[in-house]
Amino acid sequence: MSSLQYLSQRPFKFTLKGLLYFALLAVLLITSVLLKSFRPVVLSVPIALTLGFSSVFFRSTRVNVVRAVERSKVMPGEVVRVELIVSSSESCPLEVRDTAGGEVVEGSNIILLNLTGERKLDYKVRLPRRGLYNFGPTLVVYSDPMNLWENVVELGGRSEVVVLPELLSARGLKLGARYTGVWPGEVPSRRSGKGYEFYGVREYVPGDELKRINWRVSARLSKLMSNEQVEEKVTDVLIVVDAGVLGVLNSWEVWDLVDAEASLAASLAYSLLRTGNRVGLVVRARDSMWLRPGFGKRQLDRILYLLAGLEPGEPAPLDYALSMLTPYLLKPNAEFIAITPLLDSNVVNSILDLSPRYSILVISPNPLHGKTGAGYRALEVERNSLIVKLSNICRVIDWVPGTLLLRATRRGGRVGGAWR
Amino acid sequence: MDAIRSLEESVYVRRFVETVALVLWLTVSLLVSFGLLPVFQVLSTFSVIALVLALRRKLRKLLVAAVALQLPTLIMESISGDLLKASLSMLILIYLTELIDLCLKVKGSLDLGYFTAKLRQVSVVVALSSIVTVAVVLAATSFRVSLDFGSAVLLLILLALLAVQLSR
Repeated sequence: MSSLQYLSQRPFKFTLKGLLYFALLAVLLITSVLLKSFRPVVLSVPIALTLGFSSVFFRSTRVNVVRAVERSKVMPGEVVRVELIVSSSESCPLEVRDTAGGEVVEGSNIILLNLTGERKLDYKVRLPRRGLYNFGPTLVVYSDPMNLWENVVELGGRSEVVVLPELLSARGLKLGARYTGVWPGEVPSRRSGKGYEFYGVREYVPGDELKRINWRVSARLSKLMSNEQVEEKVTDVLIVVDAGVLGVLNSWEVWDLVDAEASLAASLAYSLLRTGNRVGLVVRARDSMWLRPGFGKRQLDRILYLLAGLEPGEPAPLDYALSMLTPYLLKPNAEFIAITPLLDSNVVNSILDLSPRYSILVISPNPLHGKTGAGYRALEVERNSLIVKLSNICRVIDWVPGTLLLRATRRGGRVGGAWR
Repeated sequence: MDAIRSLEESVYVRRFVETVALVLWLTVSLLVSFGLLPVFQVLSTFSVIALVLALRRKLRKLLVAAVALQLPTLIMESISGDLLKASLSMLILIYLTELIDLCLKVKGSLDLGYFTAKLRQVSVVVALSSIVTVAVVLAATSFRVSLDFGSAVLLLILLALLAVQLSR
């Protein structure tokens, strides 16, 4: 709940209705001049008097507004209830306009009321897609009886509601980082220890679990031998989201693509953070931003907040983001995940430069899937050639938004009609 | 339940005011255009049609058309008829326009208090204006006040300056 402070008072403004009344007065005067008669001017007397008396009755009072938004974090398509408590010490008819992000589905954010004491008002807003939605400021409009003048007072409290990206299932995504941390995780390290993958066989030492004893090898060597597994640890991951796609596709295609990229990045971050990894984020979009790798719920909140506000930007080379930021943010041999539609060959060159130093995974949401037409076809051919070029040096997952990521993971790196 | 009752109540009150305003507008139109050329009677009829359309379509902008269509008849009445009758007709038409505008503005609003408060304020403004109008018109008629070309142009310039200043 936020109390809205008196922010600013706009000057008295003449309304369109007031101007129309003035125009009527002018018409009557012009008619009098044209007809060379005094009589039509008499008609302007009642108009001028009503304008004058109406202005005399103008009243305003000090109003206090408190807004409470039901939730500050929601998923796309959810409905949020907004409550306004408007109070005043004096009775006054006024109009309250609350700036609402999203589509009002119940009640109204524009309310006419004769305020006496305190009034509680509410309306519901549907927030259709990912983004940062602002509620406020609240405008209180005072006017004279005939609405010829108005005085708008802006109450400057804003409430923000974050519509988070949809989370997808990111199961089955194997990381190949050679750098691992000290904590147990899910990334195979090059040491033996607790894990699932077979590493080797060594002589039994007291304390080994019985289920680890390799009976066949023990029988052959006439001494007890134990299986060893590859130890699984956590790693550092940097997720790079390339949303510089404006001008390449239609506007709705661009927004769908960026939504898919945000969902994918959020899902990966959620999945990786849950297993103890440190995750960082670099976003190249309308506003380029980055987050140093970190772990825990707070880091997830930070990542989700950045991704919720992700907006498509102009295409620009990724060189700076990749060659300057990556060594600063990510330890050598850690995991680098690039989420890019691969519509720009510069992205590929930047990734090629990084490949010797990091374990690279490229996930490419395909914005051209199911599109027909020569232009799309040419783009797709170009994109496929980039995927082939990249798949020689790193893992590439060609993912169709709306399908399971796991299915795309299984055919990772394969490009072309037969492989698709 | 209170909200629903309040909404029902406000709808009934609003519809009543709308109906009364429409009937009064029709009456004033007939009275003003009575005895004038048929073209003025046709224009008055059109103004009533514009008013009905404004109410049906909930278009406040059509009220401008209704007033504009009624204006030639009022001017004609002021030239050839009684000045007091013409100016009071103008005042009544302004009042009715304001009432219908208010009805259209508050459509969908739960608060009957706003409607009644504004209705009361507008009624007071028009009542005061009517008293002063009668006094001014009677005085102007008895003293045979007239307006020459120069004064009218001066008034127009002053009006324009005032409008420009106020609209800033």
